[in-house]
Amino acid sequence: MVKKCLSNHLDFFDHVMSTSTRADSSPKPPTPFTRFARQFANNWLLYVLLLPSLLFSVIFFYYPITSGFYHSFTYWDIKQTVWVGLENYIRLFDDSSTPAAWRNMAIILISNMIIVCIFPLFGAVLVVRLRNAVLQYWWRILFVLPIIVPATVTVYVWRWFYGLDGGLNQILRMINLGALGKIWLGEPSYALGAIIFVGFPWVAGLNFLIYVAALQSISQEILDSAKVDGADSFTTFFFIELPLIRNQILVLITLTFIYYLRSFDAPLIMTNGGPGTAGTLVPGLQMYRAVRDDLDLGYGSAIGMVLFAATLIFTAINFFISRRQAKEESSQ
Amino acid sequence: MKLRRNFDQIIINIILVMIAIFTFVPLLTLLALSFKNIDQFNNQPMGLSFPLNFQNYAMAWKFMQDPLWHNIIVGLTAPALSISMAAITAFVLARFNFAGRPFLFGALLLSLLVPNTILFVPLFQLIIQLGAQNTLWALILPYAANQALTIFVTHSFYKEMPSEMFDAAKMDGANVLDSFLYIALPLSAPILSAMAIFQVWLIWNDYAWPSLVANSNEARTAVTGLIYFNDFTRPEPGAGMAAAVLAALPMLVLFIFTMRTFVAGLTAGAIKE
Repeated sequence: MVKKCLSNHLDFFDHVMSTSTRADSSPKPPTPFTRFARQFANNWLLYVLLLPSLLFSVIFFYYPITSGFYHSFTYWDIKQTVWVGLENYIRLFDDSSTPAAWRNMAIILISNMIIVCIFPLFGAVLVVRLRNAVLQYWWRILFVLPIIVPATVTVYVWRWFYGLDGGLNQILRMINLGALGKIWLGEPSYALGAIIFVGFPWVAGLNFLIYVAALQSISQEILDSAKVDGADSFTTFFFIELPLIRNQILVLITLTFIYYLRSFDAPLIMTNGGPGTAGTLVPGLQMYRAVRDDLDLGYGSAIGMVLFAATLIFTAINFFISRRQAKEESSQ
Repeated sequence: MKLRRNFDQIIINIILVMIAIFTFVPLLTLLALSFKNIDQFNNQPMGLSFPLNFQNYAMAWKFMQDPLWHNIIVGLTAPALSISMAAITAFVLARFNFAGRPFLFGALLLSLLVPNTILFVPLFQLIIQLGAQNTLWALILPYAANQALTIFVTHSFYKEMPSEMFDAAKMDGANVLDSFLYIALPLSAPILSAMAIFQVWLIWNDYAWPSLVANSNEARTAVTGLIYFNDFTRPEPGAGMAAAVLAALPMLVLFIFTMRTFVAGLTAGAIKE
């Protein structure tokens, strides 16, 4: 009913518009505005149905992102906003802990990118090599199971493990190496390594599952013909399987990169960025601490913007590399 | 020859057992520690020690019951809101032609390309402006706004549905909502539940955001509660471990009941995120 009324009304509107602009009243194409308005009238229910998503998107995405960009140029706490230009960015680059934070993040990123290429893949290859289907199924379930453990719980257990009376020191005492024991997270030269080591042997979880799926999607014919040609397990892996799952490896490297660029749960829970001023500090944690400890939202926004720019640059590089590879493949 | 092949298989199994031991020792140690009193905890932390001390769980439960309850409320409402909005949006965008459709589609999916680090600070300020700090709304609203991935995944699903189904329904007088509720929704139930489980998992795992905006007795989530319980209330060490077990338990229950969907949801979510 409403729809029909609106539509009639718009017809009238269209009519008035056209007669007022031109003397002759022969039918002619409606103006873009009226076309849009008529479409809107005919489809009003569709727009209403889109409204909740759009509202949430505007309030919790577009507004904050704009506000964050603007406020990175201001001194900003809850009560006041003062324009300070580039001061937050200058402060960020002058801050002595910033280089350390970025260095730590680079170390964490590179280590994890190497880890994701080796350990879960190794586990997946072993499981795929099993000939007993039942056994294979149960191994798969077993190595998927740890995804249910919240990351915080894992980090919490490892924090205990590295403690003064924690598991690691106890093990060292058991094998008479108690003298080597230390508060691992309190030593500047060990803390970052200790954080990277969390989750050893890094096999179980989603990465493993993705590798298993990729390996199992390789057609059996290819593998059989390799076997006929006398390829052993290693040759098959390096010359057949590895090239065929290259895309999945690249995807996992990208995901790992993006994840560790923004994740700071482990340093936050284990060391709060210490030991010292920046032993395990990462830029994400720097941002978090600016907000939590100093309520310095402008500075926090500036760090967020720099991290965003870093992600953008990496995504662009990644995009060009994958496009060039696609081109090479198509030209071959 | 046969012997050699079986030998290979045995070696593989042995290596897998070794990997499994290293993978599960921390978790089993956590479980064992949660049953130790303070003496057992300090003197023999590795392995089980008897008698088992259930007192830890009583203490941990006393603190953790509220955080667990909060997390269950948030874990049910936020994904429900997010999925229902995203599904209807994806359906409308996939099956109907109207002015501004490509623009709206792009606008809704843009957040997939932007890492959420950038939103952290301004969202915090928005939550304070809304007066939602330290209430469950501080979690429910931003999590419910997390719709782009679901829209993206279900949009391609709805797009590929045969249009005969919808044409037939239209002939019978079904409007947009009817064809969504009675045709599209039931058929997309598996994909929607996978996405819902992925969101529940994300929410359950999130630490940084809730520890910033919902760190109060009224709104603390399970993992935030676990860290707060340990670092600020200084419980007996075994009770801290028991709290960690309690924080992980609901996910185990969810996994057992929805194994296939759980794995599908996490895989789809992780790759596309």
